[in-house]
Amino acid sequence: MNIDFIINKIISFKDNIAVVTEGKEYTFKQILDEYKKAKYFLETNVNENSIISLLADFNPQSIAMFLALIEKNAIIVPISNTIKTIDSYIKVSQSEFFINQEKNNFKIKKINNIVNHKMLLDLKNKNKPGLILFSSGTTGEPKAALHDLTYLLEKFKKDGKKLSTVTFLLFDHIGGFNTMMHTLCNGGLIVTLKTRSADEVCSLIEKYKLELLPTSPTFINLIILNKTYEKYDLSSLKIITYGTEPMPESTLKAMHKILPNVILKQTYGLSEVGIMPTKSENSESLWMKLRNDETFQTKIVDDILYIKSKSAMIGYLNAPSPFDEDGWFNTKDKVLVKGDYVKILGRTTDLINVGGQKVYPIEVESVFLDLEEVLDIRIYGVNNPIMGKVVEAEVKVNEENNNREFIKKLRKFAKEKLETYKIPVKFNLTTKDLYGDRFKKKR
Amino acid sequence: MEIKEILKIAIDELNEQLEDDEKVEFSENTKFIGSNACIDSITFVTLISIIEELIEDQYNKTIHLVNEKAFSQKRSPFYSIETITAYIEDLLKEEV
Repeated sequence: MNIDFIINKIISFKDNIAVVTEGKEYTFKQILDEYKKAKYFLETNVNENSIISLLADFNPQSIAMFLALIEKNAIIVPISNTIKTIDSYIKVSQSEFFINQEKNNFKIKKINNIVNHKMLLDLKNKNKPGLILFSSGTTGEPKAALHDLTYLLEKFKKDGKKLSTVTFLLFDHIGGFNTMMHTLCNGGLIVTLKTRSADEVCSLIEKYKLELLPTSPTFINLIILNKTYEKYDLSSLKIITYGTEPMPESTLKAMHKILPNVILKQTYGLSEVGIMPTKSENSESLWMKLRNDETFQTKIVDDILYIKSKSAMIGYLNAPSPFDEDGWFNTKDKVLVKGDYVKILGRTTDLINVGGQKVYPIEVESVFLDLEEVLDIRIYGVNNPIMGKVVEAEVKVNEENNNREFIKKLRKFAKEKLETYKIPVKFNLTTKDLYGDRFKKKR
Repeated sequence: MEIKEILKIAIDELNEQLEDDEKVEFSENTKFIGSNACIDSITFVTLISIIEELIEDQYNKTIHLVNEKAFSQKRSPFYSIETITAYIEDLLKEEV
């Protein structure tokens, strides 16, 4: 694919800093040099239209390799270093090559996979680059969404806001891809992360005066609880975007109180349909406006949100098509509607049906997070012979509250705030973290 | 700790989340199921869950009170504090 529109932008930003990795600064000019090296590497090793797994995290070389792969019309399977099931990713994507980044060098291995999936063959025949993103679902096999990259790249042709940011979202995430392309195409600055701890993120915001933090509600909760915002100067921040999981109202309000001048904006993106343009009602509100235009259309049927998008994936490689005959994608997200605004209640698949009454985990989590001693909480349903399903909770507490007396306190607190069927029948206390590699609650 | 004592602790904990007029009395007249039951089904499930946890803490044994045995008995073991106590003692003996 001709990616001159990206390369020309990169050329125009010249000596501006594009990427900072482990304290080292790289200009746009240096990114271009890395791109040329990556292009040469591919020239000597792979054919056009190959399916290529790329194991890497964000850094100047991997970003340059990504661009070179697009130029080579490769079907790219980005894999971040947190992934433990690499073999199954290679198998499902029918990858023909595996590229692994070790420090600043790339190693390539040919894989003896036979490419026979119709969608993959079609894309190859059209001579177009592709992108395969795996859903990070905690249940069942991750689904592989195949995208035509020409559609996903379309929106970066227009000029956007120049912002400096961190790579909080990973290399293999639709949000990570979006952050990378947006920043590159608009002359922004990307600071890469190593551990993604609250301290690392906040110290880099202070050091490089970063403006945008794309993150998850779980991570925001972590910053609030650890009071990381007191240790670092975060005054450069203009926008915090949150998505990937439902936001507890209590967390949003607390963050707004701490950083009243920062815009807190909800994003709505799915690896199946791309990132949708949204506008939050205000920084304290979970209501957001979804833009309906030529690229994205939405409709709500039986309180469920459906999306039709030009940047939607071609389909899953390993699951039936989730689109109906008119191309609508069922997000399975239940929403409330208020004029032009919607509020996401949660996935219908996360909904707990307690003897016919419906409980959304996020609502219960939000209530308990108001208690100072509750460091984190995860609400889930378990089978029960009497009620069908009942609500249980996993609660992160300090050692001093890790006892039965504290459970009594939780029950007493719940009495004031929740209907009986929403109160967990069981509280499992723990002093361990409740989130996974992606700062997202394990569901 | 005796089973009855565990039941008392469980009821105390349950009462934390109940309104004043719903609180369960620890008395031989308290009925947990049937038309005179003092609690609704979700509250009953919560009580059972608390009891199971306390048993696990005290006896280091995992028991499931609501099982086929409970359903197949002529008279429900969850009728009163007396019957629940006898039922749990039975279950614990079986486990040995």
